[in-house]
Amino acid sequence: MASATLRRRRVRVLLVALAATILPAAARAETATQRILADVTLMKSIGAVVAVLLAYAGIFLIERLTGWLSEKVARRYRLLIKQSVPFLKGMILIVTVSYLLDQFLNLTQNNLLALTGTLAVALGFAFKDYVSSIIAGVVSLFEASYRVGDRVRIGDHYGEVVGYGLRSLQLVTPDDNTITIPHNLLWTDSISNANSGKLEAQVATDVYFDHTVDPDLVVDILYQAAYSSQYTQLRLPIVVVMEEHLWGTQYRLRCYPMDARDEFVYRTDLLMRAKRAFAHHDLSYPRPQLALLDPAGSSPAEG
Amino acid sequence: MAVPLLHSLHAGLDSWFTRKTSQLADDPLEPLPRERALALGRRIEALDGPAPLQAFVREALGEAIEAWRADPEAANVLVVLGRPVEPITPVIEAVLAEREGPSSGFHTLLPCHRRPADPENTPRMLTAALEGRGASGAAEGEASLLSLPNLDQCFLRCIDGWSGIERLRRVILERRDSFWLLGCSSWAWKFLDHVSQISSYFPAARFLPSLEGSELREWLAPVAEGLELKPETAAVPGGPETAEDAAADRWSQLAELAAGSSRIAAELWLGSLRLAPADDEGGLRQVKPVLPDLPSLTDEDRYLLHSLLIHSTMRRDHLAFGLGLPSHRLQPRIHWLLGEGVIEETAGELAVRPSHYPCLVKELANNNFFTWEA
Repeated sequence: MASATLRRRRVRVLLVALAATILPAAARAETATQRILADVTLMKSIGAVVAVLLAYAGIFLIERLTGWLSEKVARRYRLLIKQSVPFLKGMILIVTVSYLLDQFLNLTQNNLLALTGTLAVALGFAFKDYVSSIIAGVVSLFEASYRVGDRVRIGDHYGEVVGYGLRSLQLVTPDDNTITIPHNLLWTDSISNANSGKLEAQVATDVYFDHTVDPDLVVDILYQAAYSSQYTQLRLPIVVVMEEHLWGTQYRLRCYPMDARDEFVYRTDLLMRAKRAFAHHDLSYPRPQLALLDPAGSSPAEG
Repeated sequence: MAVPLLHSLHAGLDSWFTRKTSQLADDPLEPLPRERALALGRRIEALDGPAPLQAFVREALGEAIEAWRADPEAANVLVVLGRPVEPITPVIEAVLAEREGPSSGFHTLLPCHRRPADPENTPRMLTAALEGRGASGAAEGEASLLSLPNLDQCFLRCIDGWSGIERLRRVILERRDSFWLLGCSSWAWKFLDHVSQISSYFPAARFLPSLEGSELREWLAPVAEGLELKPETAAVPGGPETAEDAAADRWSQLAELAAGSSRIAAELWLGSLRLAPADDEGGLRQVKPVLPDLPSLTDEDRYLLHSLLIHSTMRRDHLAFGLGLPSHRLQPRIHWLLGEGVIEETAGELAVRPSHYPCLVKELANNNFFTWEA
């Protein structure tokens, strides 16, 4: 409630600032070129409304069409299509805003200076976070810290980027929740991107065994589990790394599925294959009670 | 990435346009009745392998054996690769049959053409065959030339599924006094290369050559001659001048569409045969061959088809075992693919229909699967 009151107060201040800046300037203007605001006619108003509606429809169509098309085409082209969405939406916005500015403002050098001053005051008071998000979104487009179709972790949230708006991005988590995250987190938060515009993303699968287990056998089974899984991208490296703990040995299989979207079903498939082979060889699992003595505090459950 | 997309789009549009044009042209010709097509298919099955393929294997084998006999350090193995829809075994067997005699001494190590019923026995099958001949390879007085024409039937994509192949690799490298002739599908070879770097040990694998239109015509001649095929239409301005030129064009188109594969060409050729109406002289006509459309595939279908192409032919339970899925989860997709004609089942063995192979390769490559061709 307090923040809403504060926001209303800010908007009021903004309007006063706008009036104080624009109206006297307009009143002093002698010629049409000196006025900031151009003449507003009925035709211009209708044109503006039509332009806004067309832009809205265009953005809606782009989102729907690219969303549909990217799921219909082969995987190889899916990300290419998805990544084009922010650029296409940006183009529509730029064209529309340019048209509206041209229709309603006299963009001379002096007017532009006056207008930017006004906007700076307005944005500084009321839309700071909004503009910060927009600028972060544009920066991210070129930095490519995340793109539509990427699998990213921002803060506590992990999922696939499915939407890239003016102010925010949308993530769909493995639990099928859609999370909206403002772009301006880019300034302060670290962003972990699993696939960075590629189809494949590394999947790490951990298994744990007692110290007495033959490591050659475990490593061989893990390699074979990865080679035999139909999801594995065999063109990319497959590696098994080990780590010693007081309670046992941790083996981590690092490999890539052909499609990052398959990461959970892929990990399940790897574990199913490996566990069948482990059971066949009757390998001993670690002793959980020793985890209590581990100074690092990590247990098999935590990895 | 945009260039392959455009190429793919162009090829797709071209193929679609050809099909739609023939559909819209109110074609008076009718497809062959199913019984007649099946009878022709059986006659093609009974044909010997194309002579140019046999000649290629014969020549390559002769050269390799000569080199091995002349230089003990030369490779003691010849690997012949072919597409998974193209059986290599008959070609190799025909070549070996020609060499039969007391001096040739070729012995087929594993005459089995199919994997054993229990999928877990697949790797043991080859290991047992190798161990049956003793750790020292050929027994005294036995032939020192060994063939294994169907390597793709000796492994399964599962844990421990290619241990027999690794054992074979070790035996071949250790026993340099024996010469080995191996036949394998190119997809299986590529898979084995990924999982056990087999081509590092045997780099000189030879791929069966692509057949020209005239060679395909010659191969299918025993079947085509009895059909009294008539030219499809009269000569068009700017087109081939004579009926013979038009027929040569058709065979060249067929060879191009089939990428020189005899089995793909045979299916496309059967599909291009049309029955003329009785009031228009009757008889059979050969029209322009076209590749059949692939139905819209799901990810699950692609994994299934990719596995089938790696193993060439598979029983249903082997397929499920390799994919790590319970058989009942695969059955609906197998039935759907059978119904759509993408795969076929012969004597309990599933395989990709040869005519769908060219489109399927593109489909899988575009979906980030490894293929031999792309």
